[in-house]
Amino acid sequence: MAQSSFVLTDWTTVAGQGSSTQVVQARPGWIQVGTQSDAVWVVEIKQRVSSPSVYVQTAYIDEDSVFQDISRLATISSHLYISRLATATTPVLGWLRWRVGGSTGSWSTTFRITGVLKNP
Amino acid sequence: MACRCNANGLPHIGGQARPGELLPWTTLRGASSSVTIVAPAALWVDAIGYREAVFGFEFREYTSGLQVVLQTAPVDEEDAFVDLVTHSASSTSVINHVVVAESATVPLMRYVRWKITHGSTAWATTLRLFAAFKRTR
Repeated sequence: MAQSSFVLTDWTTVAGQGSSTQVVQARPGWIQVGTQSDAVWVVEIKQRVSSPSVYVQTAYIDEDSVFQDISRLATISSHLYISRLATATTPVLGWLRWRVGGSTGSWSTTFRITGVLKNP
Repeated sequence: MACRCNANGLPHIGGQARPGELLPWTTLRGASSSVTIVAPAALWVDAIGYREAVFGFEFREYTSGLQVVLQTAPVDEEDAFVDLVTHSASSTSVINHVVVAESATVPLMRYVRWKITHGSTAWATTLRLFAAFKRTR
């Protein structure tokens, strides 16, 4: 499996209340990573109220507690992320998913995440 | 070439390799500093076909100074194993170690196993280990 593109999520809007609220992608949408060591992904945020952050996470196994953040975007923008096994603190492991971390008051954000898994 | 997957099914040689648990949650204790516990042969992983790997270490408890060593060998013989990654327990969060083919002092060879040791006292730990093998040759 040399390369494969993915849509971690098409345009979606997530909303919540309070900084302790986070929304995690539902399990069926998580992407399983094969033997690819590198990844490139784009996080696009088109709308946000208050200041939520959009994170991409990775984990060895599909267990909630072991996911680790590998990117965070908290502005209305489009940002390209590059993860190389040779240099990343946390490379792409076995699974990918997104989560949104809330902020004070009522918050919302509209975003999309697409990318490519590849070997060098 | 025959596949030698460990009891947790890692890795799946001949198919798509799935990252997973090298060692599921396990509690181990050593009665003195001279006690070292090494993975039984049934849990050794056959990583043939993979050049690089990421290993994860997660603890629920550990004696300060505890070391988990991942070893690698070109053949499945006891004397052939050399240290690949040495991790000193220091956190209950998942800590990653990346083995990159081009820069590793000891590159990933065919077999991988774990070893737990402590240099100066009796020890105990509850831990699990993860592995993600990357980039087929």
